[in-house]
Amino acid sequence: MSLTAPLTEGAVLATAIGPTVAMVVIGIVAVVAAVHLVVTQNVVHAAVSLMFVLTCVAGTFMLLGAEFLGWTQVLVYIGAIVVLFLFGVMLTRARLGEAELDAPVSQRWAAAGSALLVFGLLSGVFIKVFGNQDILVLSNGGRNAPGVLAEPTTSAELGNDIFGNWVLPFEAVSLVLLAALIGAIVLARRDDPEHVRSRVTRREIEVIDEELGGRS
Amino acid sequence: MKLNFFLVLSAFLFSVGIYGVLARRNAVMLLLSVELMLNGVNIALVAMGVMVGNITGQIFALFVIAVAAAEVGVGLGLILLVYRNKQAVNVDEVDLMKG
Repeated sequence: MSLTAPLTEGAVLATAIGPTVAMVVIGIVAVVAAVHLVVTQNVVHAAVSLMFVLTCVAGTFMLLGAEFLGWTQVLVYIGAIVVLFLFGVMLTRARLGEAELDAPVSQRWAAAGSALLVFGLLSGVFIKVFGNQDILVLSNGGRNAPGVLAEPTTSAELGNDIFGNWVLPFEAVSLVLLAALIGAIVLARRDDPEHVRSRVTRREIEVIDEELGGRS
Repeated sequence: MKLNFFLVLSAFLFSVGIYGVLARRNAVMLLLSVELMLNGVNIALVAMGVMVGNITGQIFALFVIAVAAAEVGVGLGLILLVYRNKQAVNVDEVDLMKG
Protein backbone atom coordinates (compact mmCIF):
# COMPACT_ATOMS: atom_id res chain seq x y z
CA MET A 1 0.00 0.00 0.00
CA SER A 2 2.89 2.35 0.49
CA LEU A 3 3.94 4.27 -2.55
CA THR A 4 6.69 6.66 -1.66
CA ALA A 5 8.68 6.43 -4.88
CA PRO A 6 8.25 9.24 -7.40
CA LEU A 7 5.18 8.59 -9.47
CA THR A 8 4.03 9.44 -12.94
CA GLU A 9 0.74 11.24 -13.44
CA GLY A 10 -1.07 8.05 -14.42
CA ALA A 11 0.16 6.16 -11.40
CA VAL A 12 -0.96 8.93 -9.07
CA LEU A 13 -4.40 8.89 -10.64
CA ALA A 14 -4.62 5.10 -10.39
CA THR A 15 -3.65 5.08 -6.74
CA ALA A 16 -6.16 7.79 -6.06
CA ILE A 17 -9.01 5.93 -7.74
CA GLY A 18 -8.33 2.51 -6.21
CA PRO A 19 -8.68 3.56 -2.57
CA THR A 20 -11.68 5.72 -3.37
CA VAL A 21 -13.54 2.80 -4.93
CA ALA A 22 -12.58 0.56 -2.00
CA MET A 23 -13.69 3.28 0.38
CA VAL A 24 -17.13 3.61 -1.24
CA VAL A 25 -17.68 -0.16 -1.34
CA ILE A 26 -16.64 -0.55 2.29
CA GLY A 27 -18.87 2.33 3.29
CA ILE A 28 -21.95 0.94 1.56
CA VAL A 29 -21.47 -2.57 2.97
CA ALA A 30 -20.85 -1.20 6.47
CA VAL A 31 -23.95 1.00 6.40
CA VAL A 32 -26.23 -1.75 5.09
CA ALA A 33 -24.89 -4.33 7.55
CA ALA A 34 -25.16 -1.92 10.50
CA VAL A 35 -28.77 -1.05 9.69
CA HIS A 36 -29.60 -4.73 9.23
CA LEU A 37 -28.03 -5.46 12.61
CA VAL A 38 -30.41 -3.17 14.46
CA VAL A 39 -33.61 -4.07 12.59
CA THR A 40 -33.33 -7.82 12.08
CA GLN A 41 -35.51 -10.12 14.17
CA ASN A 42 -32.99 -12.93 14.19
CA VAL A 43 -30.15 -12.84 16.70
CA VAL A 44 -27.88 -15.03 14.61
CA HIS A 45 -28.38 -12.76 11.59
CA ALA A 46 -27.49 -9.82 13.79
CA ALA A 47 -24.24 -11.52 14.85
CA VAL A 48 -23.40 -12.22 11.20
CA SER A 49 -24.06 -8.61 10.20
CA LEU A 50 -21.84 -7.51 13.07
CA MET A 51 -19.18 -9.66 11.44
CA PHE A 52 -19.69 -7.80 8.16
CA VAL A 53 -19.44 -4.44 9.90
CA LEU A 54 -16.28 -5.51 11.70
CA THR A 55 -14.72 -6.67 8.44
CA CYS A 56 -15.51 -3.30 6.89
CA VAL A 57 -13.99 -1.51 9.85
CA ALA A 58 -10.85 -3.64 9.46
CA GLY A 59 -10.78 -2.61 5.80
CA THR A 60 -11.08 1.03 6.81
CA PHE A 61 -8.12 0.63 9.14
CA MET A 62 -6.08 -0.86 6.31
CA LEU A 63 -7.05 2.00 4.00
CA LEU A 64 -5.90 4.42 6.67
CA GLY A 65 -2.55 2.66 6.84
CA ALA A 66 -3.18 1.07 10.23
CA GLU A 67 -2.27 -2.45 9.17
CA PHE A 68 -1.52 -3.86 12.59
CA LEU A 69 -4.79 -2.52 13.93
CA GLY A 70 -6.67 -3.99 10.98
CA TRP A 71 -5.30 -7.46 11.62
CA THR A 72 -5.90 -7.08 15.34
CA GLN A 73 -9.49 -6.25 14.48
CA VAL A 74 -9.77 -9.40 12.36
CA LEU A 75 -8.21 -11.62 15.02
CA VAL A 76 -9.79 -10.23 18.17
CA TYR A 77 -13.16 -9.03 16.94
CA ILE A 78 -14.08 -11.33 14.09
CA GLY A 79 -12.18 -14.29 15.45
CA ALA A 80 -13.04 -14.11 19.12
CA ILE A 81 -15.82 -11.69 19.94
CA VAL A 82 -18.25 -12.80 17.23
CA VAL A 83 -17.72 -16.43 18.26
CA LEU A 84 -18.36 -15.40 21.86
CA PHE A 85 -21.59 -13.74 20.76
CA LEU A 86 -22.69 -16.84 18.91
CA PHE A 87 -22.02 -18.86 22.06
CA GLY A 88 -24.06 -16.35 24.02
CA VAL A 89 -26.95 -16.68 21.56
CA MET A 90 -26.71 -20.45 21.73
CA LEU A 91 -26.56 -20.67 25.52
CA THR A 92 -29.38 -18.24 26.20
CA ARG A 93 -31.50 -19.90 23.53
CA ALA A 94 -32.76 -16.48 22.51
CA ARG A 95 -35.91 -17.49 20.73
CA LEU A 96 -35.50 -16.84 17.03
CA GLY A 97 -38.04 -14.89 15.08
CA GLU A 98 -40.02 -13.56 18.01
CA ALA A 99 -41.18 -9.98 18.30
CA GLU A 100 -39.89 -9.49 21.82
CA LEU A 101 -36.46 -8.57 20.48
CA ASP A 102 -37.65 -5.00 20.04
CA ALA A 103 -38.94 -2.44 22.49
CA PRO A 104 -42.47 -1.00 22.06
CA VAL A 105 -43.06 1.17 19.00
CA SER A 106 -43.11 4.47 20.90
CA GLN A 107 -39.73 3.72 22.43
CA ARG A 108 -38.38 2.77 19.01
CA TRP A 109 -39.46 6.10 17.57
CA ALA A 110 -37.77 7.89 20.45
CA ALA A 111 -34.64 5.81 19.86
CA ALA A 112 -34.67 6.65 16.15
CA GLY A 113 -35.08 10.33 17.01
CA SER A 114 -32.14 10.36 19.36
CA ALA A 115 -29.99 8.41 16.93
CA LEU A 116 -30.83 10.86 14.13
CA LEU A 117 -30.10 13.79 16.41
CA VAL A 118 -26.71 12.40 17.38
CA PHE A 119 -25.87 11.59 13.78
CA GLY A 120 -26.91 15.06 12.61
CA LEU A 121 -24.93 16.80 15.33
CA LEU A 122 -21.78 14.71 14.88
CA SER A 123 -21.69 14.77 11.10
CA GLY A 124 -22.62 18.45 11.06
CA VAL A 125 -19.70 19.28 13.30
CA PHE A 126 -17.34 17.06 11.29
CA ILE A 127 -18.37 18.57 7.97
CA LYS A 128 -18.19 22.11 9.30
CA VAL A 129 -14.80 21.66 10.91
CA PHE A 130 -12.99 19.46 8.41
CA GLY A 131 -14.83 20.52 5.26
CA ASN A 132 -13.30 18.95 2.20
CA GLN A 133 -9.98 18.12 3.78
CA ASP A 134 -7.99 15.41 2.06
CA ILE A 135 -6.69 12.89 4.53
CA LEU A 136 -3.57 12.00 2.59
CA VAL A 137 -2.04 15.43 2.16
CA LEU A 138 -1.55 15.78 5.86
CA SER A 139 -0.79 12.21 6.79
CA ASN A 140 2.70 11.30 7.94
CA GLY A 141 3.54 14.89 8.65
CA GLY A 142 2.89 16.01 5.10
CA ARG A 143 5.45 13.69 3.56
CA ASN A 144 2.99 12.08 1.16
CA ALA A 145 1.86 13.59 -2.08
CA PRO A 146 -1.86 14.19 -2.57
CA GLY A 147 -3.70 11.17 -3.90
CA VAL A 148 -1.12 8.71 -2.63
CA LEU A 149 -1.98 6.39 0.20
CA ALA A 150 -0.49 7.05 3.59
CA GLU A 151 2.53 4.99 4.50
CA PRO A 152 1.36 2.08 6.64
CA THR A 153 2.31 2.21 10.28
CA THR A 154 4.73 -0.59 11.06
CA SER A 155 4.16 -2.74 14.09
CA ALA A 156 7.65 -1.73 15.24
CA GLU A 157 6.54 1.90 15.51
CA LEU A 158 3.41 0.88 17.33
CA GLY A 159 5.31 -1.40 19.69
CA ASN A 160 7.88 1.29 20.48
CA ASP A 161 5.15 3.72 21.37
CA ILE A 162 3.10 1.27 23.44
CA PHE A 163 6.10 0.08 25.45
CA GLY A 164 7.54 3.58 25.65
CA ASN A 165 4.88 6.19 26.23
CA TRP A 166 1.98 3.93 27.10
CA VAL A 167 3.46 1.22 29.34
CA LEU A 168 1.33 2.10 32.34
CA PRO A 169 -2.01 2.10 30.48
CA PHE A 170 -0.91 -1.12 28.78
CA GLU A 171 -0.30 -2.82 32.12
CA ALA A 172 -3.60 -1.46 33.40
CA VAL A 173 -5.38 -2.96 30.40
CA SER A 174 -3.73 -6.31 31.04
CA LEU A 175 -5.03 -6.17 34.62
CA VAL A 176 -8.50 -5.27 33.34
CA LEU A 177 -8.41 -8.29 31.02
CA LEU A 178 -7.33 -10.57 33.86
CA ALA A 179 -10.08 -9.23 36.12
CA ALA A 180 -12.63 -9.68 33.34
CA LEU A 181 -11.45 -13.24 32.75
CA ILE A 182 -11.80 -14.19 36.41
CA GLY A 183 -15.05 -12.27 36.71
CA ALA A 184 -16.58 -14.01 33.70
CA ILE A 185 -15.61 -17.42 35.08
CA VAL A 186 -17.05 -16.61 38.51
CA LEU A 187 -20.26 -15.25 36.99
CA ALA A 188 -20.88 -18.02 34.52
CA ARG A 189 -20.01 -21.06 36.57
CA ARG A 190 -22.86 -22.89 38.19
CA ASP A 191 -21.88 -22.96 41.83
CA ASP A 192 -24.83 -24.52 43.58
CA PRO A 193 -24.02 -28.23 43.68
CA GLU A 194 -27.34 -29.02 45.33
CA HIS A 195 -29.22 -27.77 42.31
CA VAL A 196 -27.16 -29.92 39.99
CA ARG A 197 -27.44 -32.92 42.28
CA SER A 198 -31.19 -32.64 42.63
CA ARG A 199 -31.56 -32.34 38.88
CA VAL A 200 -29.44 -35.41 38.30
CA THR A 201 -31.39 -37.31 40.90
CA ARG A 202 -34.67 -36.29 39.36
CA ARG A 203 -33.45 -37.45 35.97
CA GLU A 204 -32.27 -40.71 37.46
CA ILE A 205 -35.64 -41.21 39.11
CA GLU A 206 -37.33 -40.61 35.78
CA VAL A 207 -35.11 -43.17 34.10
CA ILE A 208 -35.77 -45.72 36.82
CA ASP A 209 -39.51 -45.02 36.63
CA GLU A 210 -39.45 -45.52 32.88
CA GLU A 211 -37.61 -48.79 33.22
CA LEU A 212 -39.99 -50.01 35.90
CA GLY A 213 -42.97 -48.88 33.88
CA GLY A 214 -41.67 -50.73 30.83
CA ARG A 215 -41.22 -53.94 32.77
CA SER A 216 -44.52 -54.02 34.56
CA MET B 1 -9.70 10.15 0.05
CA LYS B 2 -11.54 12.63 2.17
CA LEU B 3 -11.18 12.67 5.93
CA ASN B 4 -14.88 13.38 6.24
CA PHE B 5 -15.85 10.08 4.67
CA PHE B 6 -14.32 8.23 7.61
CA LEU B 7 -15.68 10.64 10.19
CA VAL B 8 -19.23 10.52 8.83
CA LEU B 9 -19.06 6.72 8.61
CA SER B 10 -17.93 6.65 12.22
CA ALA B 11 -20.76 8.99 13.26
CA PHE B 12 -23.23 6.77 11.39
CA LEU B 13 -22.06 3.56 13.07
CA PHE B 14 -22.20 5.30 16.45
CA SER B 15 -25.76 6.55 15.88
CA VAL B 16 -26.99 3.21 14.60
CA GLY B 17 -25.48 1.69 17.74
CA ILE B 18 -27.39 4.21 19.86
CA TYR B 19 -30.60 3.25 18.10
CA GLY B 20 -29.87 -0.43 18.72
CA VAL B 21 -29.17 0.09 22.42
CA LEU B 22 -32.35 2.12 22.92
CA ALA B 23 -34.73 0.14 20.71
CA ARG B 24 -33.84 -3.44 21.57
CA ARG B 25 -34.92 -5.48 24.56
CA ASN B 26 -32.83 -8.57 24.05
CA ALA B 27 -29.64 -8.23 26.11
CA VAL B 28 -27.46 -9.94 23.48
CA MET B 29 -28.71 -7.42 20.89
CA LEU B 30 -27.84 -4.61 23.29
CA LEU B 31 -24.25 -5.86 23.53
CA LEU B 32 -24.03 -6.19 19.74
CA SER B 33 -25.11 -2.56 19.36
CA VAL B 34 -22.55 -1.44 21.93
CA GLU B 35 -19.88 -3.13 19.80
CA LEU B 36 -21.15 -1.11 16.84
CA MET B 37 -20.69 2.11 18.80
CA LEU B 38 -17.18 1.17 19.91
CA ASN B 39 -16.20 0.45 16.31
CA GLY B 40 -17.51 3.81 15.19
CA VAL B 41 -15.34 5.50 17.78
CA ASN B 42 -12.34 3.43 16.69
CA ILE B 43 -12.67 4.61 13.08
CA ALA B 44 -12.77 8.23 14.25
CA LEU B 45 -9.71 7.70 16.45
CA VAL B 46 -7.64 6.16 13.68
CA ALA B 47 -8.72 8.69 11.04
CA MET B 48 -7.92 11.62 13.29
CA GLY B 49 -4.60 10.04 14.21
CA VAL B 50 -3.67 9.67 10.54
CA MET B 51 -4.72 13.24 9.88
CA VAL B 52 -2.48 14.76 12.55
CA GLY B 53 0.29 12.34 11.57
CA ASN B 54 0.96 10.43 14.77
CA ILE B 55 0.01 6.96 15.91
CA THR B 56 -1.53 7.79 19.28
CA GLY B 57 -4.97 7.37 17.74
CA GLN B 58 -4.11 3.81 16.75
CA ILE B 59 -2.86 3.04 20.24
CA PHE B 60 -6.10 4.35 21.72
CA ALA B 61 -8.02 2.15 19.30
CA LEU B 62 -5.97 -0.86 20.41
CA PHE B 63 -6.87 -0.13 24.02
CA VAL B 64 -10.53 0.22 23.05
CA ILE B 65 -10.40 -3.21 21.36
CA ALA B 66 -8.85 -4.78 24.47
CA VAL B 67 -11.44 -3.24 26.78
CA ALA B 68 -14.24 -4.25 24.39
CA ALA B 69 -13.08 -7.85 24.56
CA ALA B 70 -13.20 -7.72 28.36
CA GLU B 71 -16.61 -6.06 28.24
CA VAL B 72 -18.08 -8.75 26.00
CA GLY B 73 -16.73 -11.50 28.24
CA VAL B 74 -18.20 -10.05 31.42
CA GLY B 75 -21.39 -8.93 29.68
CA LEU B 76 -22.15 -12.37 28.26
CA GLY B 77 -21.36 -13.90 31.66
CA LEU B 78 -23.94 -11.58 33.24
CA ILE B 79 -26.51 -12.34 30.55
CA LEU B 80 -25.97 -16.05 31.10
CA LEU B 81 -26.52 -15.59 34.83
CA VAL B 82 -29.71 -13.61 34.27
CA TYR B 83 -30.94 -16.22 31.83
CA ARG B 84 -30.26 -18.99 34.33
CA ASN B 85 -32.23 -17.23 37.05
CA LYS B 86 -35.09 -15.80 34.98
CA GLN B 87 -35.20 -17.97 31.86
CA ALA B 88 -35.23 -14.78 29.78
CA VAL B 89 -32.78 -12.27 28.34
CA ASN B 90 -35.31 -9.46 28.12
CA VAL B 91 -33.83 -6.38 29.78
CA ASP B 92 -37.28 -5.09 30.74
CA GLU B 93 -37.79 -8.06 33.01
CA VAL B 94 -34.57 -7.46 34.91
CA ASP B 95 -35.81 -4.81 37.34
CA LEU B 96 -34.71 -6.30 40.65
CA MET B 97 -32.81 -3.16 41.63
CA LYS B 98 -35.49 -0.75 40.48
CA GLY B 99 -36.25 1.76 43.26
